[in-house]
Amino acid sequence: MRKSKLISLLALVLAVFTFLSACSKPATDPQGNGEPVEKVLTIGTYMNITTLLPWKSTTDGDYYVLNQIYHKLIEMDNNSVFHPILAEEWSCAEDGKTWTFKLRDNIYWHTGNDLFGDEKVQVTAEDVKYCLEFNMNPDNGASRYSDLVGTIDQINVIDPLTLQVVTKDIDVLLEYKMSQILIFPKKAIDTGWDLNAYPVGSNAYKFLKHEIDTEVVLVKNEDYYIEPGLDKVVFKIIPDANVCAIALQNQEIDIAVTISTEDIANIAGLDYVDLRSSGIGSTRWIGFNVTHELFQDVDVRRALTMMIDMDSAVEALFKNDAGITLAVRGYAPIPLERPAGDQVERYKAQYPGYNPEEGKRILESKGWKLNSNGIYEKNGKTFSFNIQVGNNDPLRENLAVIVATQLKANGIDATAQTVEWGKHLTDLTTGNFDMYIVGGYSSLDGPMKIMHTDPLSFSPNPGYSNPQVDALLEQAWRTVDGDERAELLAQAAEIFVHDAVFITAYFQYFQTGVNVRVTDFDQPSVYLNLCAPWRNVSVK
Amino acid sequence: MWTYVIRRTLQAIPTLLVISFLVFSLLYITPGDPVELILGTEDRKITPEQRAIVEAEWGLDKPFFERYVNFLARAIRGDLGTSYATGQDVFDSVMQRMPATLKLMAASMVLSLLISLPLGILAAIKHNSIWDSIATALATVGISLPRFWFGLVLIITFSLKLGWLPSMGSANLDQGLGPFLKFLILPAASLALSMAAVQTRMIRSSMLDVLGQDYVRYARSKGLKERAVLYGHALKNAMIPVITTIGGEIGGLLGGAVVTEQIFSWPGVGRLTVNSITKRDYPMIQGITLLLCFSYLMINLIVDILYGFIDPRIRLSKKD
Repeated sequence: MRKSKLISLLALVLAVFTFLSACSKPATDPQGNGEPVEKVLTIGTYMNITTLLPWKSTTDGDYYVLNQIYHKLIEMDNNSVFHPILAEEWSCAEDGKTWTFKLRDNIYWHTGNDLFGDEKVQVTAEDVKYCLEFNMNPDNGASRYSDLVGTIDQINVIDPLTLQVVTKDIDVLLEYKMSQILIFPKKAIDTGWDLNAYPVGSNAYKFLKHEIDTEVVLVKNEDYYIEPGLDKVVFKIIPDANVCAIALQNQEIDIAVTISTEDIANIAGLDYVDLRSSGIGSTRWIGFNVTHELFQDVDVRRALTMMIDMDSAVEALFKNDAGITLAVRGYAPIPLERPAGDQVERYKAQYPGYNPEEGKRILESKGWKLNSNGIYEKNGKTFSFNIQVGNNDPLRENLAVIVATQLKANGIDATAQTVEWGKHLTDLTTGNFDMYIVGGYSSLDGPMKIMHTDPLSFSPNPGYSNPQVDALLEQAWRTVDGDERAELLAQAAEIFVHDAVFITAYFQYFQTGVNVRVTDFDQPSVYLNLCAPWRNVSVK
Repeated sequence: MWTYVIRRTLQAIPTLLVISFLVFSLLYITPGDPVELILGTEDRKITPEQRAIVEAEWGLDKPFFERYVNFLARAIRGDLGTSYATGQDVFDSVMQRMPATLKLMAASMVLSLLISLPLGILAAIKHNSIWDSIATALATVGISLPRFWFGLVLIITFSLKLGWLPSMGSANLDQGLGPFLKFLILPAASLALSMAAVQTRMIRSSMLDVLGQDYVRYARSKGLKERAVLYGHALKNAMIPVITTIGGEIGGLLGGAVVTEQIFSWPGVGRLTVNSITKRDYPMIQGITLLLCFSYLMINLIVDILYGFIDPRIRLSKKD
C-alpha cells in the first residue's frame, strides 16, 4: 500500500515536470508548412518604464520604447553625425540663427487606434511647432523645457511641410536639441487622449501593450513608408543584470542592453551571441570640491593627482578573462569619440602624471609636513578628507577605495565613503563634500555642462569657475565650423586639465549582448531607430 | 465577536496615525529635491519659473504640518497621493501590482506548508531519530540560505542548465495553466524554502510540546488511534504558534517579496518598492509603507480571530 502511494507520488512529480518541460520552450516554426514566421525581436532592459509621455521622459528605459513609436526631426549617431528622420533635409541660414526643416511628405500618425481610427493623417509642420511650443510651456513640466526655452526665439510654419526655427543667438547645439524632442500628435492633447496609457506616434512601430513592470510590446506600422524589418518588438524589463545575462544565454531574449562586467567572460564565450561596445565612452571622474580649504590651491590639487596611479587602478577595475576593453584611461572631460575628444596628447601634456615623490615635494613646499603617524600636517591640522561616492555603481565604489589607499600610502588621510545616491546628488549640489566620484555627461553638450560656470545648472565641478574657460566654451558654442569649434573646446579642456579640477579616471564602454540571429543592428544602441532609411533591424 | 473586531480595528487608528507621521517626517527630512524628481530634468537645470509652478501645483510650498494634514486628510479618503516619478495615483499603482504579489504569496505559502507540515510532524513524532535530525538540518539550511542566492541557483539550475523553466517574467491564468505555473514555480520555490524552514521548526517544537500534554496522553489511553490523536487533537493545538508565524509572513509578503520579485522580474509590490526607493519617489514610498502597516494590522486581527476558532479556550477567555 505504502509502496503504491510512493510510486503514485513519483509519477505525479514526473508528470508535472514533463508537462512543464514540454511548455518551457517556445513552439518552433514547423518547417515547410508555408506559414510566414513572425519576426519578433525581444530586448531585455534593466530599466523600468517610468512614463510613456513623450515630453516627460528622461530615462533610457522610456526612450528605448518611445524612440520606436515617435519620430524626432533628426537622429544623432555615435559619431555625432546627424541623420534625417522626420525631417528630410534641413539647413541653417548665414545668420547662424535661422534653421529650416523640410519634413517628409509620407509620414502619417499611427492608425488603428481610437484617436485616429483608420484615417491616415499626415504629420505636418504645425504638429512639430505645437510639440516644440508644448515643451517650452512651463505648465507642462517638460523635461527639456530649459534646453529649448533658453535658445528658441521663434517657430514659424512656412508651409505644411516646412518649419522654421529661429534661435536667440547662434546655437550649434540646436540640431542636438532637436534630436531629443519626440513629436506627438496635437490631436491627442486637444482631445485629452492619455498618451501615457496608449502612445500614438508616427514612427515605424506602433504601441500594442504595456504590462506594468513586465514588458512593452510594439507592432509593425503597416503604413510606414519603409517596410519595418520586424513584426513585433518586445521590451522585457529584467531588473537584475545577472538574470538578464542568463536570459540572453537561454535565448529568451535577443538583446541584453547591458552586460555586467562579471558576466562578460560567460557571454563572450557563446557562439550565438555577439558583444557590442556602446561606442561612446561614458566619463567617470574624481573631483575636488574647489571651494574646500584643502583644495583651493591648484598646486595642491596637482600634487594629489600625482599621487594617484590611475592607470593601474583602471586596469584593476576592468580586467576580464575575455580580454575585452571595457574602459580606457581618460585625461580630459571629453569622450574620445566626441569633437575634441581625440586630442589626448594635448590633454596628457597638461595632466599631472603619476609621480608621488614630486607630489610630496610640492606639498612640502606648501608647508605640509609628515607627522609621527606618517600623515601630512600643517598648523596642527592633518591632511584628511573623504572621497564620497554614490551607491549606484560598484566600480566607482572600488575606485574610491583604490584611490584612498594610494593617497594614504603617500601621507594623505583619505577615506572612501559610500553614500545613498540621492544624498550624494544633494551633497554635490550643496557643496557638502570634500572629494567626489561621479560620471556621465558624455553627450554632445557634456563638456559645456562640466567645465562652464552656469549658476542655473547642477555643477559637476563644484566651485570651479574660470572666465577664460567660460569664454572659450561660449565662443565654441557660437562657432558653426566644426573644426574651429573642436579647437576651442580643446583649448578650454587643456586649461581645465591643467587646473586639476578633477581627475578624469576613465571612459567606460558598456557592452550589449546581441544574438547573432539579429541583423542590421549596426550600432548597439536601442536609443536609435530600429527602422530608418539606413538601418532596418530584423531577425533571421 | 463583531464588537471585538470593531474594537481592534479602532485600536489600529492611533497606530496608523503614528506610523503615518513617522513616515512623512522621515521622508520630509530625507535629502533630495522633489521638484527635480517631478520634472525629471536632466542635469538638474530648473528655472525659478518652473520651480514655482511645480511647488504650487504639488503643494510643496506649504509648511510641513499643513502638508502632513493635507496628506492625512486625503489618505482618509483613500487618496494616497500621486507618484513624483510616474505621475500615477499611488493607490492605483500599488493595486495594479497587488494581484501578482498575492499570487506569489499564495503559491509560496502553499508550497511551504506542503513541505513544513509533514516534515515538522515527522520530526516531532520521530523525536531524536534520524528523521528528526534530517528535518532539523534541512530547516537550518533553509533559514541560512540567502533568498537572492537561492533564487539565482534555481534560475541557473532549472532555467540555464536544464532549460525546464523560464528565468524571468510572469504569466496570467488566462494564458493557460501551463505558462502560469511555469513562471510561478521558481519564484514561489525561492520564497517557500526559507518560510518552510521557519515553519518546520515551529511545527516541530509546538508538536513536541503538545504531544507531552495530559490530554494527548488521555486520548491515547482511551485507545484512540495514533492518527486520530495526532491530527484530531495534537496538530490543531500545535498550530496556534504556527498561525502566528504564518500571519507575520503573509503580512511581510503583502509588501512584496522585494528580493525575489527583483531577481525573477516579478511585477509585484516589491519591485514597485525598490523602484520607488531608487527614484526617491516619496509619495509612493509613503503609500506603500502605510498600506503595508495596515495589512499587518489587519492580518494580526485575522490571526487573533482564527485563534478563537482553533482553540475554544481563547474564545471563552476573550468573552470573559
